Amino acid sequence: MKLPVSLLALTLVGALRGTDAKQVTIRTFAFAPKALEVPVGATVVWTNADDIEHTVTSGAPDHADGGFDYSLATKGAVASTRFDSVGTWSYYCKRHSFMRGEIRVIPKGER
Amino acid sequence: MGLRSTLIASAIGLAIPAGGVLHAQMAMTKSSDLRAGLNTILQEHVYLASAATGAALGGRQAEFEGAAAALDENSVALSKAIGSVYGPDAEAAFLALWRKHIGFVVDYTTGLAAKDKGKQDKAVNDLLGYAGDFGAFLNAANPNLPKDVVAGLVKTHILTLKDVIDVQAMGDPKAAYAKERVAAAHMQMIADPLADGIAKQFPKRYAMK
Repeated sequence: MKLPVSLLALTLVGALRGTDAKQVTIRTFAFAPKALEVPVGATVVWTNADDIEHTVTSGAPDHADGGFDYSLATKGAVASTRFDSVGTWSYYCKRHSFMRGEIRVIPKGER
Repeated sequence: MGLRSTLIASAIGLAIPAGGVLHAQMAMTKSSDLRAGLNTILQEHVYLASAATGAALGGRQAEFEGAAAALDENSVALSKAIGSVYGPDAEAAFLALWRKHIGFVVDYTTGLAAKDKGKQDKAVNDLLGYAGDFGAFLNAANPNLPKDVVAGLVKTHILTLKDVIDVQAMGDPKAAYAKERVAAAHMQMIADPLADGIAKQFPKRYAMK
């Protein structure tokens, strides 16, 4: 599987809130939305709204693919990734493997 | 729908018409019904878990399987109660989280049966870590339920259930049943604040009739 390319550092994400970045919220031990469709080149920002550590890890439990792996240790922690390739990326939380999500990257202007 | 599920569903605000089909009840539901329902199901959790661990430690496989199946039905009923308040995503997450702690209890019990101290210690650590997760879950769903307070109550649940299992392993039924009553009674300490927190969060839904 191809890597989703640019992995942005966790820090800049505050600046990405309110921009065109697509948001995923981690709340009550679930990714919302579970499946997100974005145009190629989009940045996805995950925000932890739970008061417990979660991770955003590409792949599936026991099959992490090394694409991205963020620890969102506290409430309010954020992480982001820019997706520069068309395709579908599954991800999960390593601490709570029942938490699953998916990013579908489509060509610009397709939707 | 069985009697237990009917009682729980009724308590949390679901109406069960004669045809047996569930639908959301529009009328007010007493907060006392909610409290009673959660107490019932959480105490049942302790009794069924104790039945399962006692059977497992006694090598009574068929009895264990029956108790484990009933325990899982109890877990599903509890998760549906949560789902009726917080929606299907929360229901699914809650069920996974709840089943996870039961898995850790099974790990502890099998470690005890095998006299594997390492496995027992790991299971206890996993369970105590789970208490924090559970506190975070309920706090995220309902800010009226402080994470650390919930975690402390769940930790006590874990320790009182561990007391039951330890005495079961020693082959002392009288003490085991005494510990079981203590563990079951403690569940009120979880059920009451949970019910009160939900009623406070949704005052119209759980207003007095």
